Amino acid sequence: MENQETIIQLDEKITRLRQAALDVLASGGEIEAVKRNITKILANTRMLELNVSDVREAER
Amino acid sequence: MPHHKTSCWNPLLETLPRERLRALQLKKFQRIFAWAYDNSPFYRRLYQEAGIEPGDIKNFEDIKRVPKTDKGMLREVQSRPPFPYGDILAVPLAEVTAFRQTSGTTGTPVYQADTWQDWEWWAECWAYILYAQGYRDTDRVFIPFGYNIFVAFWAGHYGAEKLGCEVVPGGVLDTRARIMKMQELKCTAFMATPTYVLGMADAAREMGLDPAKDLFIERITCAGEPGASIPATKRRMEEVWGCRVFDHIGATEIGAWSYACLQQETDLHVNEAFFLVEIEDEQTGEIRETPANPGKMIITAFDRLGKPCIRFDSKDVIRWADGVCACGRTFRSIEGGVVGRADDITKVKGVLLAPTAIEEVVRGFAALADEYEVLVTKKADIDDILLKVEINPGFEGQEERILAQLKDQLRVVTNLGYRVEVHPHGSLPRYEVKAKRFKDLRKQE
Repeated sequence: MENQETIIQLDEKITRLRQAALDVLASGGEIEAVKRNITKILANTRMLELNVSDVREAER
Repeated sequence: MPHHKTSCWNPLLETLPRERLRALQLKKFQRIFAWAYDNSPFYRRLYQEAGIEPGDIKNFEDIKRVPKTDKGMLREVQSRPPFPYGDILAVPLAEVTAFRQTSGTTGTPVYQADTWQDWEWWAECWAYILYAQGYRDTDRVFIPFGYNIFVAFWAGHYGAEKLGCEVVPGGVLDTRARIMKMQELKCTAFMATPTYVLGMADAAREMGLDPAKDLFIERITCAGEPGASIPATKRRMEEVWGCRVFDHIGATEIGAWSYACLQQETDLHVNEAFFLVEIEDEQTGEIRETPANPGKMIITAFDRLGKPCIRFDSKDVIRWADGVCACGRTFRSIEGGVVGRADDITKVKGVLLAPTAIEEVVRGFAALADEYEVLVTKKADIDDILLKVEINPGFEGQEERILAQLKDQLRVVTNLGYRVEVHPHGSLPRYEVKAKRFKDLRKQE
């Protein structure tokens, strides 16, 4: 098992990743090319959350 | 580096201590239940009628109170507006990016909607499977599949890409062309139904090729039929291809929920981080948490959002395996894969008969070809079982002895007597997708 501290750090970085993607969507979502590519990025971000952030979630 | 570090796609989840894994499962069930309740009119109606709402789910006992769904309900809901899924979706239709449907083996096909995130999740499920079976970015993976309306190996394709494999889509090619392409490209792995794995080997031999020597296959992943968890069929495939053959289990309306790892022969891990599998005693309705007799699988996909799958009664009959797998995963395993289907296991002459038991016997005879067919009929109110087989070349003149041994074995394993007919080699139906070898014609008579 990875160090719990590492999981917390990863989780926080993934949270920032999601926020950055949402910020781009908020700024450029009117542009279809931005909106659709961010949708894909968010889908992949969700996979990171399922793989890493949920481990932290199990602790709460 | 510990073994599990290198054999797990995600050791964080795959080796999570059981207690934490169960805590995670409960949280994830609460999450998907609330999502469906809040966003899917179908699920909200179902739960309101049962008098249960998100705040009521506090432990695993509460989960047992959540109404089950089944294929009949999915068919019924899609027959009503809005077209084409009914009101089961938990996202706006505009967010749906993929349509698939079930094969229709057991009735009207069920339509399946997936969002882009759901599709990414499908590939993620397959990444767990393929990594556990030794696929790496050095593999060149051939997919001899029609890339049609069925989910089949679509997600396997994207799962392999996710691992970094080089994926060769063998779509519209015929079997011989596929074999030639696999040989030319020195493909190291492929995915197919057990029936087609054996059919491809037959075709290769007809082309004068020995699959084990003239091709470069190191691993095969099966789906769609239980064969890769039936010892005799698995052995047959491994011998003819000269490589490991692995099983995985999934379904269009569920996802890819189970997989054999490198340490397993016929048991399969359940991906318990992504799915909740409950095994229900068909007589008492109780949920079994320990290895015991087989029961009916009730399954929840925790993370599929477009068309949620919650407490789905799949009719698959499974049982928990005993012990812990040597691979280091904490995910539980089921013994021998799906051992039957609740709607397949049928009474013949008053005896419960599972078609997989017949397959295990027939495929255990080297003298018998890969294909066979079972017809159950009623003659003057008495059930009759006719087994049609083909005898392999090289066993001419031994028919009487082979059939006597076959009948004996069948009686020992299934407690039933059979009429056996020998048909010319190559004359019984060949299947590329899901084989229909067991035909109970009594209902039509």
